[in-house]
Amino acid sequence: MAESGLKKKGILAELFSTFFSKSWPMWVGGILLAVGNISLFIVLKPWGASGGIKNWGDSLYNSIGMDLSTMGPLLKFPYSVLCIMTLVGALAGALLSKQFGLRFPPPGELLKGFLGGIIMAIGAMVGVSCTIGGFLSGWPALSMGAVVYALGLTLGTWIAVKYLLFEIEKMPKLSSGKTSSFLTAGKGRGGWQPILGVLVIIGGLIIAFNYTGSSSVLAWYTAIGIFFGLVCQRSRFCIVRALREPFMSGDSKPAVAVMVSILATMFGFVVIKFMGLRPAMMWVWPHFWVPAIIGGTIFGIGMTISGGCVVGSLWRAGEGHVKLIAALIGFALSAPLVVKYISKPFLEGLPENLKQQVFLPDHIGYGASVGVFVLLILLWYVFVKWNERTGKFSAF
Amino acid sequence: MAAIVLDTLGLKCPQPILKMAIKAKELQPGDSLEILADCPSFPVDVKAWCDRTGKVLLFCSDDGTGKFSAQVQF
Repeated sequence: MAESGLKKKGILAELFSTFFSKSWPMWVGGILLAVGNISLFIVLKPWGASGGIKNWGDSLYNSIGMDLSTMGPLLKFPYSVLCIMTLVGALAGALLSKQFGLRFPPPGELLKGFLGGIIMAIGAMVGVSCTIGGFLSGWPALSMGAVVYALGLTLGTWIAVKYLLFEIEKMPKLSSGKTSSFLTAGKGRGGWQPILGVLVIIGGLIIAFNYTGSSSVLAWYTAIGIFFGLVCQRSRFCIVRALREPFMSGDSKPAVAVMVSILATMFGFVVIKFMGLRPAMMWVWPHFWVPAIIGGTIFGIGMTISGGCVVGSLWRAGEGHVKLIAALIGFALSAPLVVKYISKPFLEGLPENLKQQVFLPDHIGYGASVGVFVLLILLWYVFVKWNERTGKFSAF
Repeated sequence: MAAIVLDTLGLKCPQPILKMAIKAKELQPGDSLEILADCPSFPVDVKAWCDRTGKVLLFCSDDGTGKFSAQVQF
């Protein structure tokens, strides 16, 4: 019996170690995120992030008496709940793998995080989406605006990489200075982290269960949010890396992981739309092509400077990176003001033919549309692999 | 043959690799560069950088506290 008990403990410890001792391959994360994204679409709508963080800001401003338009109360708007729980899920992942730690960067880096968050907010509000709604979910939704948005993201990333290289050579002091970290695990300490991680997961599931009485949608968004955060943290799934590395190290793996995620998501989205389970125009944003190229470029600059897009900031904030917490604060504080003073007047003044909703199957049918998007991904794959071998576009 | 130490503790990606790439321009064949980092992405990044640039990654070890030490032979 004792031997059997020991063996059983060993097997469970091995299982835990499989999930929480080493990072998962990013492409595995991409497939799991696709499963979560398709599930969200079945529950209500596909994955998006910028609207949720904007709602954090709306709620804050409204709580201090400012009358800003809001998409709903903080804990009743599905996307603000999804964002909160993504952060919670990443916190759980970091704790379970003993990777949590409050990490304070030099002041210059903290400032870059905050400013990057503001720039991302401008890009997301002008471009009517972010890397998730306008790219990771936008391509599978067969939106041509998402293709333009991705071009903008790429251009913005390229510009910001040039800036980062300039900064590191000409202004190295900006990223230098005192750094500190707290609560990190180490030899003989931090044993509390996995225990707290389990409690965080249980707490999150209790919240999800509590929502079932009032809204099954919010219950599912809570559970899937935890799942997203956990998967992103464990696989270090990062769209910034996917778009940045071809211009920096040349590494193609992050880009391939995003391609895998888009393809897997597209499979589910096409079935859902084709079968009429959800409206076909869902996640086809009215941003083809001017808002998409301008917004995408600005967002690409912001995310590269801060080091994470909205979701990348969420999961790294859950890990304890204070720079990305600053990015989220910058985004949440500025997004409501950007809508009021910049993006709303800009979008309202733009002629209708420059801000269209273009759903490709309306023009060439579902089969050809899927073919076009698969071809685009194939071209992207060939580019990143060719660039990895030749280094033509890589900085080093 | 110089042995240089580059401290990037407290910086998250891509700063450690950027600083390393800039420092690499000062080094000659035979030199070695030791990099200290605590960004969880660093081990993957330094390996990719070495593969990409043809440098030899002698080791990249975790001291058990989330701090990495990598040595690259030029």
